[in-house]
Amino acid sequence: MESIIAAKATDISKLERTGAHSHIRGLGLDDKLESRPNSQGMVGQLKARKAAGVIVKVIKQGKISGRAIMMAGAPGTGKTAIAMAMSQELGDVPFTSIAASEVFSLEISKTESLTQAFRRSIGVRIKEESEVIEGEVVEIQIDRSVTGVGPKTGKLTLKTTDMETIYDLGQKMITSLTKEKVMAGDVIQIDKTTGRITRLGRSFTRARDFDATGPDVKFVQCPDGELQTRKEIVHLVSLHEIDVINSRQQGFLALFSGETGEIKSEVREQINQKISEWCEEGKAEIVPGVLFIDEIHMLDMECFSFLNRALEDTMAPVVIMASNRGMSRIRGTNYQSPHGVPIDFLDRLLIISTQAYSEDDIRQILKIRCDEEEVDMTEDALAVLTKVATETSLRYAIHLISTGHLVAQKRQASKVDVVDIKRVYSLFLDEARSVQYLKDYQDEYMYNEIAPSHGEQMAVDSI
Amino acid sequence: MEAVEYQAKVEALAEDILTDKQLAIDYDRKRQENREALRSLREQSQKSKPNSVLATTTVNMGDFFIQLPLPKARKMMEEAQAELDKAIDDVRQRLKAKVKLLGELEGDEKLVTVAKAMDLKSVSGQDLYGISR
Repeated sequence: MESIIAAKATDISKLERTGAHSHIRGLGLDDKLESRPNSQGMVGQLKARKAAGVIVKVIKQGKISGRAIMMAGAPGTGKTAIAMAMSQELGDVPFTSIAASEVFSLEISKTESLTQAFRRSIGVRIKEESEVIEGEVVEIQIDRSVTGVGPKTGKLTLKTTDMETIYDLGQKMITSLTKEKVMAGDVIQIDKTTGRITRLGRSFTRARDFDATGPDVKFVQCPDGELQTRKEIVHLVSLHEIDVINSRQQGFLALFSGETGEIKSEVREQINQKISEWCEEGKAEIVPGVLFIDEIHMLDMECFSFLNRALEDTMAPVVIMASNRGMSRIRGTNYQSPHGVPIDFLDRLLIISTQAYSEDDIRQILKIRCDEEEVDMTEDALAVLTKVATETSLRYAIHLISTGHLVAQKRQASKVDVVDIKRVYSLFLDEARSVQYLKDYQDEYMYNEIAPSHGEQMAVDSI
Repeated sequence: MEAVEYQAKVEALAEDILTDKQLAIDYDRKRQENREALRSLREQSQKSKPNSVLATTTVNMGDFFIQLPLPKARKMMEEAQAELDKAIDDVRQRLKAKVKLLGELEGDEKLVTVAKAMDLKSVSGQDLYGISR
């Protein structure tokens, strides 16, 4: 005899992936904007965090727009982490994050791509209101005339915990109700202006009406208060979304598919004008946000000229850029420039620099990552890992955490120990060892044309 | 002492808000009853000849009943309905202001931002979708 296996449906609506920066909850500053050494997932880097805190405060007050800030520092010094922390601190303000190479696309031009990114970071707050009748259905009574032709008439009894009343139904309302299959005991919401009926669920008190109900029957409480209320909902939409909605027929579908194409500048101008009118009339409020562009050295000369101009616009967001290049070539030219960014553009920026982490900072960061990835590690293993991180790089050490955990599980241990760290260290090469290996065995690699005398690892970029 | 005064102010405001909410509920109840009455008046006047002396209805005014001609009764009800609508709107406006004040007193930032956003005038879907036309 086979047993009946009960299948359980698991709710996977909230899949939380542990990403590289998922442990960051905020900037970790106190009320006086001084950085705490280890707080909200951020460790060390005190000066940069304090500067970021000042900027967040000024943004929240709405006092700066069209300003640009650059975070410059060696790789692995927390630039993206601080940007993530700023987005958490800002909360409601729109925060768009792009990588500079996303700007280059076959479908839309670079300037259009940048303009869209800018307009995505400016929010508009609008309010939608509607008169709504919400209540639990006590009884529906629909009468059909004897002959079968002619209009139906009906009465609908709705109640809340405080009152009960009867509505006379017209033809259209009867059709909607039958289409929605509304029954006694359902809690419904009728929009007075559009006449649309929404079923919110079934009332708890009528849960025992049937012994078996379908899987997607939701039980809600009988609503309290008035039957007819005015519902007011506040939305925060971005200028880009308004552009897309108005750019063509069925424009709102393009919002979901993501293929917006080029939007005409006349449309954008009309929208700017309309939104300013609404602001004057008190119908809308502009919420300038933040645009974070990572790897800013990947933008070319034309983009920088465009940015120069775009930042001067009245409706411009705050732009935060990150760069880890030192003196390097500006893409699209042959000129060398600090951070890969033209000097006249650099002049308009507020620059925050990040320093390399101290050994103690690295140790604390590794501890936080262990907690985030739910890995138990002995103190010795943590010390060895810190040593590895100082000699190689922080990111390599973070990778060793989950891999070390898997190796420890294989040997049936609950905590990761030094032997596990040594094993994954030998299994996975860091950047320096990989390059050494390459130099030693380069004859055996395919397409090997680099002369053995140079120790340069940077490949020449080829545009 | 200041703390006690502050608490008293907050409590009084909260009490005020709750009373206003209850007021809105009572007004709405009256409004629904009025609406039902209007509908039954309409049905009655369809059945009988208008302007006939017999076309009367009995209206309950609290403690006593009055017999009134149908058109007059209807006019009375409609006026009462308009007054009720206006009263409900007033209560809602006052409620919004009081909730904003409560948010400011309690230092609840989220409540204050929401309350401030509620002061915006409403925008309809057609407005939003029809900018470029």
